Amino acid sequence: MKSWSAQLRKGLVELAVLAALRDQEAYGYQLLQTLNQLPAFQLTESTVYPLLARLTKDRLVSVRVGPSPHGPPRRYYRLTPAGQQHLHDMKSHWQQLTQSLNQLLDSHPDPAP
Amino acid sequence: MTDPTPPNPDPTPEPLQLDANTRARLERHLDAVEDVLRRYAQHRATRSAILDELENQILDKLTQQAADNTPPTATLDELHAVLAEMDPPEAYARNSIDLPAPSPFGFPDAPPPKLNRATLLGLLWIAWFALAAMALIFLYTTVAQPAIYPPEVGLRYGPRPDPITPTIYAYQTWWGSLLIVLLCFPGLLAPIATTGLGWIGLKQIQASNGREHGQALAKASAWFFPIAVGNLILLAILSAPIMVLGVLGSQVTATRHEITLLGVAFVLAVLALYAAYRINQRVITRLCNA
Repeated sequence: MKSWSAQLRKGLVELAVLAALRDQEAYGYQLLQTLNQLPAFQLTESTVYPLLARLTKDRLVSVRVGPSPHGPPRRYYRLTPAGQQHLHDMKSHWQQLTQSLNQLLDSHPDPAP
Repeated sequence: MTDPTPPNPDPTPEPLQLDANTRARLERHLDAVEDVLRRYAQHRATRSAILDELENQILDKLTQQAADNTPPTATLDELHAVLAEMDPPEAYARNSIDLPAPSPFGFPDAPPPKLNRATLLGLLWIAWFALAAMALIFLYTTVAQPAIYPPEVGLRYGPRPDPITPTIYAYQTWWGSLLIVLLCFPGLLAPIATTGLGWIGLKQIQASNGREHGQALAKASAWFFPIAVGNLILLAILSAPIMVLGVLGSQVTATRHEITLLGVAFVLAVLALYAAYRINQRVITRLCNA
């Protein structure tokens, strides 16, 4: 169960990151903190930063470089139009999926443990 | 993709102060993460983006902890505490950025990356090149059948007569020709083949989304012959003054002058080798970091 749950969460990271960037730009650590405020997502930097790099490479997010108070320049991520479209597609797919799954789960009540 | 829009007007807190030991420890952690990312064939720009995020996160955490100090400072122990809460460098291998995009259903752990085949072939071709070179030397120096001379003709009183059958070298035999065609000729194509396969390997590894590895070997394959040729040219240029001294040495008669020239030639040879070593070192370091 634990492994299944971890893999499901892992598979949803991209959707979560895109959704978190839907309305506002954010830098990496800020985004990580936002996602970790959600109880179901306990993500770490080794998952989120490489994913942000891939999304940038795929041109789903754009990067604006701004100054940092103490380290290298901060990278602020924002959804590109292609990213918005990708998020829309993923969201539709996810909603269809959960709807179908809920239908299935609701039609068969839980067996007694 | 970088937008040239103006920076975010965040309030800028006072910069965090790190002592030399703490800074060195932080750099070591970042280097360890970079090593893992490099092993998974991440491009330099990607590595740099991930490392910038990571460094900013660590410094942000340390700054939060040091909020009461003026100016904010962080000790080595505080850095260790922050690093202990974070992912170890190996975690970046499991979450390699170039893994295929995850599906909403979740995906099983990616299979271990395979060594790129073009790279492997390129490296094997170097071995083939060496084998072909040795085979050529063998074929052109080995006598397959010695010459047969007419009997009872004295070598003692005159020049040696023409042989009845001339010396047959290995390369002139049918099996020698076969070796040349099948082994030597393809082997001697290695400078082109290995270099090309190295570049193909690099492209394939970068496009493989982390499924293939061997970037360092691909670079070695791509640059082996260019560097070898470069070294030959370099040594030829650097050894020119030594040859000039050799010519001069053959013209002087006094032993004292000969010894002087020999000494100068020796010093020049050492300098030439050192210069070649330093040039190679710089070139190879730059290639490894690219």
